[in-house]
Amino acid sequence: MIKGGQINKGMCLIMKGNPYLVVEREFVNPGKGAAFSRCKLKNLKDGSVLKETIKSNDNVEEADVYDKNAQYMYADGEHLHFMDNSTYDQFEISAEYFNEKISYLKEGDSYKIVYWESEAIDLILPMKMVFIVTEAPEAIKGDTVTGATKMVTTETGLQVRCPIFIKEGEKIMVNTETGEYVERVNS
Amino acid sequence: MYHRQAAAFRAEILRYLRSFFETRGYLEADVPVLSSLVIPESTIPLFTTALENENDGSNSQELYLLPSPEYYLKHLLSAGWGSLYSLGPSFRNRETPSPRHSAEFTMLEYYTLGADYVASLDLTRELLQDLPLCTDSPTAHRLHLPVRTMTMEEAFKDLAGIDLLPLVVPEDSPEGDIQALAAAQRALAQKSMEVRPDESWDDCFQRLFLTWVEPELPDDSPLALIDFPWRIRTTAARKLDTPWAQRWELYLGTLELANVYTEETDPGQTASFLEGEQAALLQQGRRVKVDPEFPKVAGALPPCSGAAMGVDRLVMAAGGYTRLDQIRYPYAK
Repeated sequence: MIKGGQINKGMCLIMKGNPYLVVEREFVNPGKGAAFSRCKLKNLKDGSVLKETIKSNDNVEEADVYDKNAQYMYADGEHLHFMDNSTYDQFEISAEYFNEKISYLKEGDSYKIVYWESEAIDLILPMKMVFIVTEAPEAIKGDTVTGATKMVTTETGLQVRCPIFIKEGEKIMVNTETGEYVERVNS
Repeated sequence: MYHRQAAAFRAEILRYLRSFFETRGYLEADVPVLSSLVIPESTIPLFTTALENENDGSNSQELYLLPSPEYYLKHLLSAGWGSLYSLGPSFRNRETPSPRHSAEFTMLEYYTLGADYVASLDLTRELLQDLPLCTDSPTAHRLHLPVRTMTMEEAFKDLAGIDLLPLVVPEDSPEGDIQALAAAQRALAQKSMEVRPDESWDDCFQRLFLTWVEPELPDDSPLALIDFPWRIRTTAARKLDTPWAQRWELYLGTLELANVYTEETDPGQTASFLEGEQAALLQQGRRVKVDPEFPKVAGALPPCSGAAMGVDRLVMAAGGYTRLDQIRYPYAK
């Protein structure tokens, strides 16, 4: 247990039975009133954001959240299979919660997996990742409108809306938070 | 961080404030920073110190660093000194320092005889109108814009979508207290906030206000947030036959600048305020020496309105500064 006044950005707390990451914390001391910590919290399981204000001398439960780095091996439909980078143990996590992230995972690359009470609750992707375009339809003839786009597919199966000049075999950078094309990568 | 230019600007504001009140006939009263008696307030933890015996160094008298000049100024007001102001340091303990908050701060407190909280608003508008501003700040001009007013009830409704009335009535009975607390807890739950079974009504209200209302207060001009719930125990008089107190606070966005009352002059109400605060302090395991004569002092007060303004924050806003340590020497690093 910690006190509300000890809450800091980056800490993980249990609120209403769920683990939350403190993304913003501001001390507020009304002229006539007790001291409080005004927080913005992110649910580590579903990403939803919660606003909460906690009295400085109230107790708050810290969440026992830890992470490990692991190499992604393959997916079998129900599970994602990884190898722990430090112990080389192989393990699996349920694919159910990470459906949106599966098509970003590259076999052989390492990712950070976040655990709370022995349950994998998050999989951290780098903010920007580079992919190879494996399918890119030809731009429709005559489509010369500035900003015209088309949908391409990457080697991981990710679908990204790109400018029409992107061709099969080229590399593109993608923002993993928004799923948007960032730039063409020359290599 | 703290530059001579900022110190000069601060000095200019202090000169302006003194001249503003002098020309209107207010007397500057000197109050002791080391104080043996204060008005007990359960939400204001005190800095405690002691006078030591000159022979053996043992504590001969417990003293507090002044949390507010209210106690002394009310004595002087009730002794017939007329409209008064004081400008000096105040101290609040157990509050984490932040860019906008310091345990030691400069308080301007002004009491206007024969005025109520609405008249104090007019006076404060005048004070802001000619306040020196730092001309090269892109934000300072806001203090010269007309002060808007919004009732607390409107603020909860319009900014947070919360109907405040069920939280403030019914009242004045143990059943009323239970109903008001239940309504506050319902409002917390509706906003997906944690409901703590041991929490007081005041804390529920503050959490709702600080989470949903205060961050949404407009920051393009000063705002007087008016008519606070009577349920919040203060020394403000009640607005007759309503659940509201004659109290407003001055905000610039989320920056709280002043707190203003029509002062309670009923000795019975003052005695009950002191009892309530003493009980709340005891519950927290704290004890503060109280002047048993204070209800009599409050009872002898002429009708008046008192305002307390945070001068360091005022200087910050008028100078376009963002941190207190830019406009005064920080007491600790």
